[in-house]
Amino acid sequence: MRALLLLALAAAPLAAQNAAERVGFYQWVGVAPAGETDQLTAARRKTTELGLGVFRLYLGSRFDYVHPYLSAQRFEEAPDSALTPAAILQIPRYAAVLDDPALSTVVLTVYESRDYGGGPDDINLLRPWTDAEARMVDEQITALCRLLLERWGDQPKSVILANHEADEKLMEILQHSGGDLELARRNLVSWTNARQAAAARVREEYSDAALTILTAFEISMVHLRIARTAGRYQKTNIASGVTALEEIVPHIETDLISYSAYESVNSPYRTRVPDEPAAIESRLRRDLEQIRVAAGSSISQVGRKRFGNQFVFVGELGFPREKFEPLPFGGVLPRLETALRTALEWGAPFVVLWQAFDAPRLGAEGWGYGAFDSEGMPPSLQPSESGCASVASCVPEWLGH
Amino acid sequence: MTKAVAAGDVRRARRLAAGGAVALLALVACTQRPTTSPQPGERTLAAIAPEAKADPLRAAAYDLIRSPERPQESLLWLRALAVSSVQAPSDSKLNQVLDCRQTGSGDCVFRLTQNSAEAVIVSRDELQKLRAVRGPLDVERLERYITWAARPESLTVRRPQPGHLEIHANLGPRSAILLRHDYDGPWRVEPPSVALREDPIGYLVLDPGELHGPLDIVLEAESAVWPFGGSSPADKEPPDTGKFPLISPEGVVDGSTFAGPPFPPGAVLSIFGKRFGETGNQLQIGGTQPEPLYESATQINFRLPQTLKPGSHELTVTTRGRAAEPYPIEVQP
Repeated sequence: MRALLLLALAAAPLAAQNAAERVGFYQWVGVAPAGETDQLTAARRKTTELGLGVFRLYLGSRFDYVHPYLSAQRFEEAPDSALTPAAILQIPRYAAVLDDPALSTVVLTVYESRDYGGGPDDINLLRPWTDAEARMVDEQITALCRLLLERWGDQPKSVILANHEADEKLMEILQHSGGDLELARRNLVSWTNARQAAAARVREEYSDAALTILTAFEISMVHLRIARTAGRYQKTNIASGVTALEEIVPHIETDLISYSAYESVNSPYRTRVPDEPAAIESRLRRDLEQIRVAAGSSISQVGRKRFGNQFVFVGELGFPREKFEPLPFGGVLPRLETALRTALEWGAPFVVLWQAFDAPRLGAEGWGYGAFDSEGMPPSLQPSESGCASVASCVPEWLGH
Repeated sequence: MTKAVAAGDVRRARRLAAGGAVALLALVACTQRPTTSPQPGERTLAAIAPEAKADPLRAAAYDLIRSPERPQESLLWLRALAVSSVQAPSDSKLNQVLDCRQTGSGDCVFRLTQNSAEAVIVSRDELQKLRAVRGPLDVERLERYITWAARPESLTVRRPQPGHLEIHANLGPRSAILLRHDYDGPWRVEPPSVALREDPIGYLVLDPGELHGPLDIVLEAESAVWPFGGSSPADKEPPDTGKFPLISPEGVVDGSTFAGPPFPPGAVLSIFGKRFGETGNQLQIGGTQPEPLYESATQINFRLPQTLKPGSHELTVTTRGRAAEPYPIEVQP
């Protein structure tokens, strides 16, 4: 399998780039090893220790990687009034991500900061879009891009400014607005295009920089649909529902599309019950292709020039071990290997694995995605064909690193 | 992130089997301050006990959380009550649904990743569509409630003195404020144009009408209820304020199917609400006085008289001489 993967990569459009440089981890709120107070630094180190070149993090005012999510004590060290993305990125543990020479691509899940009465918060796209929102987004993205290019402009890195799954935001807006699809469409399109315009303008100002700023619009639904059932907007198989791919993507401009790929890789959308690991390949390939066709006209010239037709990357990919390991037909590793190989072979420029440390548990939701557990060790999994037995040991091996 | 959907959790089941029966969840007060200890002002389960006990539904939910039963439903209530963390023995049922972070004493702190603010901005339009949660196991309505209450905007709440709250919010259009305190006041609110409403689990919603943008609201608790920031009623029963019984919105349903009206004559109905008597409630509908089949502080069951004529009728519950507002129900031909 490893030989096949390496062979496939050799034929890929981005063959010049080491496969390990195209893969890495995401870290959001996680269960870091006991005693570890800075999840961001811990996750970054775990990523680079495995020789991976991509790292994704959340850059916003709700979570600081030290205190609990939305803690009143978060960002104690930052100035009170200015928790903008640019201000947060200058905090040493965040800046260290950009400083790290082992990371060639950094994906920032970035949200502008706004105060709704309770202090800095992520911009809320539930409210009607006005000139004030447009100005605020422009100012904060401009400041972020200028900071990136002035402080790290001489480094040959790519920094991708992304959102988190637009389908989740679309569902949230529908939920809280009583199903106002027009509001959802207008807000998501205006927001995305304002971010794109700011990034593109600053990029032109610093055209000689070695660092490249790119934008990505993340979606998570291809076949599933958001529809109102049982009194709530939910992900369903109802054909009359909506998706960000159909409602938003045709109206935006972006450099890349990020696909959070659970719908394709974790279970078939019709049954939502896991099947054989081998079936992942055809589903993921089919869905990446469908996204590419649907989003083709939304890709900027910069995106086209750099990535050609390979403008869809996998922004999230992972399998919770507590769900998949007990299955009688293959656990986490054969699935992950198939999905990773398929994405890279198909030509996804980057693949981000969810995530370095486990997500906190919350009832029946999947949580055991972490490559490292609460003791900092790779959880043991059923061995792969080659004998490796954890995400942390297998991924570098599969990538030939 | 979209989570995977999949088969049962064998590993978890094995662990539970190995550990024997789930021990009684003897929740302990969060008095220690290990590395996992709550931050000041956090809504731990212990901290919200007074507000939970102030309402029969929330009190029942609190008891459910403290029982050894139903971890998934207990988790839903921890989310609905916006609890940030719970300290409990390491063998508690919560180990099935949340991560245990060991404390120095060998207990666990179970932390929830959610907005646990005392007050949040919510949609006032969507509030109208919610229906009263009928009991601690009414999962469907509770999930709708959690979705509504989870709109992610916080605001500032200050307590310059006991019994006095100052709220500052920057409201969007058609917004309201969910304040996680008991609806039953009486409250005094400034500006008086802000209406006070009750949410499906008995919390207070401040409805500013068409006002939006920056807004400052002052809320004062009148003397009969516990003062904000003052002594807690956690260790004593709420005082009998002599208030009237209340039938919840959409609180009259078929007793076996929970279906709403219209009802056929002879149907056994359940009335959900609050401040009913454990015994001695008097019912009136269409000139008849049906006898309760079951009575509790939050629920009364009775049979619709066979002689009731088709059409609209008003149902009245009288408890200790005080009558609830008449509740309209439709009887089928």
